[in-house]
Amino acid sequence: MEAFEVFLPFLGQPFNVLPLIAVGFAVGVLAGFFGMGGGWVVTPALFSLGFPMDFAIGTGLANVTAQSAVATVKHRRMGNVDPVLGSVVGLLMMGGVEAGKRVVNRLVSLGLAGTVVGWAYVTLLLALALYMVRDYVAGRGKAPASDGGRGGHERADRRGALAASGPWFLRVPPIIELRRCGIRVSLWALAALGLGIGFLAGLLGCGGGFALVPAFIYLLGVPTFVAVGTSLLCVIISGAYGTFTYGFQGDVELIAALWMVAGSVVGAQLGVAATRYVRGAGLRLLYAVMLLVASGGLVLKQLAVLPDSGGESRLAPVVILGGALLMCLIIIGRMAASVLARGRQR
Amino acid sequence: MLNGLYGWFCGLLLIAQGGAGGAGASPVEAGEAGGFSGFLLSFYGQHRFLYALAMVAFLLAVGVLLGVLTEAALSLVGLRTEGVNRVE
Repeated sequence: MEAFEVFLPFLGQPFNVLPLIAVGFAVGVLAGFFGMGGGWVVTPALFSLGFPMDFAIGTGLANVTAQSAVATVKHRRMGNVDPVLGSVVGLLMMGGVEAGKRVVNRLVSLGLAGTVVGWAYVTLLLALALYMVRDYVAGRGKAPASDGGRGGHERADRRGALAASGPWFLRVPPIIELRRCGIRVSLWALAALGLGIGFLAGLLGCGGGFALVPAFIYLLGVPTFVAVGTSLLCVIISGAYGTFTYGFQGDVELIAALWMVAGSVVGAQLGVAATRYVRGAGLRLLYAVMLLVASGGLVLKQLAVLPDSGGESRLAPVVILGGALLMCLIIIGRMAASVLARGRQR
Repeated sequence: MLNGLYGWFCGLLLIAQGGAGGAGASPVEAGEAGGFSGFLLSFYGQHRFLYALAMVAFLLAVGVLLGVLTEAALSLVGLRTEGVNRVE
């Protein structure tokens, strides 16, 4: 296995690249297939693999930024990016990222970064799992969308009309008009959204897409596809700033990030391709189970760093990585089966 | 391929480094790190701002480049990567 070891200069130790590629690949497939979420795997996985929490956050942000670049270009080509909304929220997220980073620095100086951010992740993963289960339960019994997801547009358009005349905080001046989304919204609402989600991204080292997409759709009434494309632009802007600022203080392992990017970009393309071949709401439920498994893995890691406990820490990366890779194998396996079946029909 | 990209990165950084001069204080010591690792540490130590900026630009470029290459490779085996977006 020594052949796969590279020296990570900022950590000052050799590291096996295979787990890094596996983490990147798993993140890519999940993000590509589900359209959001995936970045949350990186920081806990790196932390479990032995990276200090500040390095895990910085390197995770670097991976998410590079991975989002190509997806943003594709969405831009398809007209799914609102440049005004993306730029405004993305720039405001930079302020949130900076605040999150300062909190991490303070926690590092107190020796509490691993514990606090780790438990914050456990909470986040559980909340995401509940969201997925709720989504699954709400979707059961409904006819599957045969329009490739345009139903999302219609629902969001209706919400957009409601948002324009609805909650008071969306109508506080100054108001800006988002032509691509077809809505008018208060700059204050965007500021709160950007700063809040940016803070989470800076604190946890993830892109923030898991919060941006639902917020754009359900709070602002942005059409679904535009919400996904625009959230990617926000992730690039805030992620690039986060990578820069963590890199500036020497908390990004560029070599580790590059190996992860190699895995995640390939995984993301496969994940996106799989959406054409694999359907079934059951996968969302499986995703929720995987979130619970990852959360359990993180709890194991947290318990292992408590005084007078040990031995469990090796379990944590196995549980987190194993759960994510199993999910990827199921998605890719079902895609391969579908491709073969279609080939036989012809 | 990654080795090639490392090479490009080193080249770009060396160009950017040229003439800038002046050694700043680094919190990270190069120690026994050699080759690309040593280069990264020494560049970070001398021009931290430029290093962070070049790193972000490089990562974005690598992301796009690998994405385009992967897309081309997948289309060769008949897989389309303009997926159906199912986020709702």
